[in-house]
Amino acid sequence: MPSESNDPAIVIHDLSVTYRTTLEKRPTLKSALLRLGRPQQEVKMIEALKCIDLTVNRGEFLGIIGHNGAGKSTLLRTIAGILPPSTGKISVYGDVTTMLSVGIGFNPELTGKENIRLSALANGYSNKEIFDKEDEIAEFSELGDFINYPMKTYSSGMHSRLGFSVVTHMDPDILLIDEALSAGDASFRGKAAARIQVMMEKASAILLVSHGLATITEMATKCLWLDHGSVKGVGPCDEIVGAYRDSVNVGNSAIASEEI
Amino acid sequence: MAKKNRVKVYDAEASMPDVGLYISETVTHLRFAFEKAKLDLRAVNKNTWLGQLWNVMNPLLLSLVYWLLIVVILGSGGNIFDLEGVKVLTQIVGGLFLYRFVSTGLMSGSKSIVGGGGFVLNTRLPRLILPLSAVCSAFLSFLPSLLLYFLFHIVSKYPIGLQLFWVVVILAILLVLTTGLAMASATANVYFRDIASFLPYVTRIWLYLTPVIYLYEEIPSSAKWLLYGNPIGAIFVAWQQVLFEGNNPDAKYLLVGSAWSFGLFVAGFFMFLRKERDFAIRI
Repeated sequence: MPSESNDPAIVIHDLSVTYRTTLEKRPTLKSALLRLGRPQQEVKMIEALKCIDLTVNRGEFLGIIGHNGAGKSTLLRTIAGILPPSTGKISVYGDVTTMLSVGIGFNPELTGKENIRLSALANGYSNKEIFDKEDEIAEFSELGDFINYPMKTYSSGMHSRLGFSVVTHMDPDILLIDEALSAGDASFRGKAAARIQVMMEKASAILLVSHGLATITEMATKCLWLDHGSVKGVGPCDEIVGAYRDSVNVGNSAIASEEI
Repeated sequence: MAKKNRVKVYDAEASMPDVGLYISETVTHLRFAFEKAKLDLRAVNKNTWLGQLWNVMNPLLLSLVYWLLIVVILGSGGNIFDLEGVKVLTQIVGGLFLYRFVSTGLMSGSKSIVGGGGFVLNTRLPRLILPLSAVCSAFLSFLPSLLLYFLFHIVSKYPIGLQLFWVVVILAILLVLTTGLAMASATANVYFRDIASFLPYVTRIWLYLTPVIYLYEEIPSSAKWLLYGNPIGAIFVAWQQVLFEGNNPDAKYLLVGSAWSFGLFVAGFFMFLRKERDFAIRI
């Protein structure tokens, strides 16, 4: 059961997400016609999340760790309301801002500035507010003249720097970040970490998926370990990260702590 | 700024999002849909020499093709260089420009969800924004061509008067209808990807079944039912009555057109809404 709290930001009760994938990857009219009258074979059920119970309170910074395919991104997508739960229920108390996949939502033909405008509008800002914010975001991203170039000319680091700058200037209430701190070079990462600290004071909750274990222990107030779609542990970061390290047998090496 | 502390519940039991909440979420993001439509439009022709002019050039060139076919090759509708010939051209231009709005809205709408992968997978905005924005794009690229049409209208001395205000009503009806079609085809295309490939042929046949490049009076009486059975048939008759006959449109055509438009909009909306939670999984 979710723990009792006076001030929850997210309450997840008995959440499961199951994908039904068929082997015909792209459903077509032809295959639907050919299948008529016959039972559909080749169905594979993927249980991305199994019976998750979780409460995130206001003021908490939850780090989410786990191996590839453990369901971390699925969990964030479900909380954001993008993926429907198969069973269970999620209550989200506040507006969610997502940075799920770096630079997504951007149109590569448009310039960085135009994409900033679109993102801000998508987040419900008025034209005047956007006008005020535009330069601030552009400056934070350190893109220089590139901000007026189409985004297809950007490097992947520039993409993610812009993405991070946009999201973190939206005054989010509940912020979901997936692997965003791997954005950019060392100096930008320092700046990004500082920015998140500032946001912590305003935002009511942050959920961060990262393979950078050091980042999690340093910044998060609580840690969730997902393993094959189930909760393996929730609690203080040192404890959970330690247990995770032991289980994957990597020890406290520098390589495991930070992505290369 | 968006309101804080609103509770959102995602429940596995609910098959459809709360309609009222969904509509209000969509309405607050209409500005975004509009800006997206504008910027998408700008992005499409960015690398061409004529740029935005292509939005007008495309239907204009197509009109010339049909005009040559009808006047020169089939030899009907007068001479190329006399007023009769120009009138035929104007009539084709007026019809095709309007039809192009419907077909572009339908086609780009059908691709909006499948093609909007990143948007669907990574943002929490109502997906309805995507087909709405596609229709908006189509409408925005239609508006300048409407201005160009009126140039033709004046040159070929078609009647000018108060009845021209009916254009606004006709456009409104057609906008609602196209939005319905876009919502329905966007949903269908998620499940059957072939639809987007069929549509260019469907819209071509639909063009011939609608009084666009010919006048509605030329339709043999045995085929008159097409004007009512075809969702846009009646509206295009009204269009021709206003522009080329200089009359107010017959009420029956406006009513039939509005009924189709309202019906398709409601059907498209609920079809979209019923399936919208499934999109992220299907893409």
